Amino acid sequence: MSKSSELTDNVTDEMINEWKKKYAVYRITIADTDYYYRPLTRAEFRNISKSSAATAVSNTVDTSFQMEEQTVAICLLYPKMDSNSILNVEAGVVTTLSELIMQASGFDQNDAIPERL
Amino acid sequence: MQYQKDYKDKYGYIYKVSIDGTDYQYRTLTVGEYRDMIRAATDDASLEDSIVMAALLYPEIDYDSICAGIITVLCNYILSSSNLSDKNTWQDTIDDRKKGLLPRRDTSTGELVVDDPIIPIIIGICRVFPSYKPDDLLAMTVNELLDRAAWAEVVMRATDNTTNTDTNIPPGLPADQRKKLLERISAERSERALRDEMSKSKGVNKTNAKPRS
Repeated sequence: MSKSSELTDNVTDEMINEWKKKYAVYRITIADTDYYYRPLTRAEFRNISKSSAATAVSNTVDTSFQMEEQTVAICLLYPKMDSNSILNVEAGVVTTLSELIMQASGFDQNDAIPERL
Repeated sequence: MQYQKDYKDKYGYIYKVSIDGTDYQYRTLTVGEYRDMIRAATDDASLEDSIVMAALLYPEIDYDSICAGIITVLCNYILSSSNLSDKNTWQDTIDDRKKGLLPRRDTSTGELVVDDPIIPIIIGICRVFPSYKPDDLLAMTVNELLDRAAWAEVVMRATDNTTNTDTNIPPGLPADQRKKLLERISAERSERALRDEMSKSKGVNKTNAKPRS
């Protein structure tokens, strides 16, 4: 059995319906693994931004990695990951997931032309 | 729509942009508002939040539950419409707008021409009465404006030999004191011009006076 089907088998319709009551739910397959995620809310983004700003002041660690990991830890619905388990996932997967979550959260909606009223 | 007219009356330009199927209406920010927000912001997200909170007119949104990127994108639109997103283009904008204010040389006659005749009048008044700003004058009726223009010409003639206003202002003077000084210089010039005019008209009366029999 592939890694993908193992994980997908664990996600039931009930789980998806429960998620959909609260969020817009997305699924993406990366390297044969299915990931379910939701958009980031503004309040969550604010918290991530604040903690990254604090980290940036206190040391020189690249805060963009930290932001990616926090974003994925918050928004990934399945498989669930916390700040420790996320460190064992392939590096590019976290970055890709973070980008997809940001996209789903509206960060790329910048192609409109404002109309002066 | 009435509410749009109310917004326009209050804020000047308002804009509409559609993001992810929702129409948002916003106003532009003033330079002062933007500077205050930058000073108060603790991080990028809080700066974006405060910009959108100040400028978004419609619809009302929940700043906690909305998708994070919508605020960021809206903030970028607001900054762009407010000419605050690319400060490197400011000088180009100034140069471009100056073209509409300064005289240009007519290619066929070679003469200097001004496209908008109100501009030299405003420049003349502001030069003689420095406490007036162009916006003050643009808010006047034509009659009021021409009245000030007449005064400016009279004062200019009377003060031709006096020192330049700017040389009377010590460098580094705080803005409020500078404003007061400029107002005093304007008042003094007006008073001096008035005295000159009165003495001239007295002179005329004397010349025209007929001896009593």
